[in-house]
Amino acid sequence: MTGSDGTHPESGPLEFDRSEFDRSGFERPGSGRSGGSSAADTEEEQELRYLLRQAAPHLPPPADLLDRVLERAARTRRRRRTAGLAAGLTTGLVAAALAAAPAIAPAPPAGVIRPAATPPAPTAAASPTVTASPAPTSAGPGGAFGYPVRPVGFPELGGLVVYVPIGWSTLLVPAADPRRSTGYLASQPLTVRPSCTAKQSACATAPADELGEDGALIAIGLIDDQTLAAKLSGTSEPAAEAGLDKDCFGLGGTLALLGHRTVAEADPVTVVELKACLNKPSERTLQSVQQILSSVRVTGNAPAAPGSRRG
Amino acid sequence: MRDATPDFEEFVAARSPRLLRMAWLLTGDPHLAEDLLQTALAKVWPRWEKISIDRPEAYVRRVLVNSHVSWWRRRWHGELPHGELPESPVHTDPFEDVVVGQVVAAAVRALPPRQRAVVVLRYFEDLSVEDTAEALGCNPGTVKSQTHRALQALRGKLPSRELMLDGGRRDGI
Repeated sequence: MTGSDGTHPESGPLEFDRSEFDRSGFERPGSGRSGGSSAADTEEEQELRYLLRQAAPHLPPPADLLDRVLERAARTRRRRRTAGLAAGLTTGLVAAALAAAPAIAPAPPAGVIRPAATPPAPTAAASPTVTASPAPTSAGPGGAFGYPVRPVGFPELGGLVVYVPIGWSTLLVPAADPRRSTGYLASQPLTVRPSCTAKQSACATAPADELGEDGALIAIGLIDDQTLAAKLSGTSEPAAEAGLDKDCFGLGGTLALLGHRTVAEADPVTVVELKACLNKPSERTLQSVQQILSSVRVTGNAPAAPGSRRG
Repeated sequence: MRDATPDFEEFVAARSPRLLRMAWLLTGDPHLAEDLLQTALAKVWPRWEKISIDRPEAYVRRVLVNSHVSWWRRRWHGELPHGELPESPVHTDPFEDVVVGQVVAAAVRALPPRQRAVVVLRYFEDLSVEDTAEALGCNPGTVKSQTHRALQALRGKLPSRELMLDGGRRDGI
C-alpha cells in the first residue's frame, strides 16, 4: 500500500505507480482515460476511487507471463481444432461425416484404408498429411487385459500411447499444431475422405459405415485449456455415460461415454479426453473402452507409421 | 511456439501490472487474477495485429471483463458470493491496511459481476461512462444505472478514507 497524507491519489503525494497510468503508447489519443474522474464526482465516488486503488495489491506478474500467454493461446488453438475433430462424436464432425456418408458408404474398396495401405495421395500442397497409428508391434500385455492387445502410439498427439484390442483400426488425424491432433480408434475400419484439406474440420474420419452392433468409435484428444486441465487434474475415473448426442445417434450409437485421464500432473498439466460412441456394446467392448482409457500413457518413443492400420 | 511480436511483448510488459490489479479486483484472488489475465491476453494475442492498431488496452480490458463474467456464469472459479461482509476494520494492528483492503475487495466482490465490472472500470481504471459502456458492450445509460446500484450497494460497507489515512500515518507508510 502506498499513500499517507490524505491527498487525492490523482493529485498529490499518494502515488499509485504513476507509470501505470501512462498509456500513451496503447491508447488512442483522446480516448480511454479522459473522462473518468472529474469534478462532478461525488465525494462518495472519489472515496471509492481511492479505496479501490488502496485495496488492489501490486501483484508482480510472473516473469514468464508472455510465454504462458503464448502457450495458452497455442493450446486454445489446438483445443479448438481437437474439439472440432473430436466432434466426430459430439458436434459438427460426425454430422458432416454423416452428410458425406452416402458418398463414403458405397465407396470402392480403395476408399477404406487397409492395413498395408498408404494414406491417400495428397491432391495439393494444402492437403492433409494424414498418418495413422502404427502397426501392431507386439501382442501387448494381453494378460493384463484378458485378450490380445497392441500398443498404438500417437507421437503427434503429445506422444500418447494406448493399448487397443487386436483387430481394431486406429488413425491419427494430424493438425498443424501436433497437440491438436485427434486419434481415432474403432472396432471397424476407418475411412479418410481423400479430398479433405487441413482447413476442413469434418474431413477427418468416420467409420466406413454406421457402427455395427457392438461397434465402437473412440476419439482421443488432449485438453489444452489449462484451466480445464487443472480442474480435471488427477482424474482417473472410468469413462462415464454421457448424453447421447445426435451425431453419435446418427452413427447408430446407443451409448456415449466420456472419460478423462491425467497423463502429466505438471509442466503443463496434460489431460487426455476420450469420447466413445458405442452401438449396443457388449461387456467386452465396454471393458475395452475403459481399458483403453486406463492404458493411456505418454512416451517419447511412440512408434508411428503412415496410413490407417487395422491390427 | 510462435514468437510474440515486439509490440505485444512491450504491451504485456508495460500493461500487465495494471491489468493484474484490475483482474484482482474482479476476482479477489491473486491466482485467479493471474489466470484471468493470461486468459484475456491469450484471447487477444491471435488478433493482435488487428487490434494493436487501435486502442489495444481498451480491447484487452473488454476481454478481461467479459472473460470474468463468463467465468462467473460458469462458476469455474469456485467463487462463492459473500452473504456477510467482514466487519469494518478497527485500526488496532499494523496489518490494518491489509484488512481494509480485504474489506474493500470483499465489498466489491459481493456485487453482481456486471456492477463489479462497472465499478472497477469507472473507479479503478478511471474510464468515462462512455468508455465503460464501450468496454462492457452496453449503452451509457446502463453504465449509469449499474453505477448507481453499485454505489447504493456499497454504501455503508466500505471503510472511510480517513480511517485508512489515519492508519497509514500511524504506520508511517
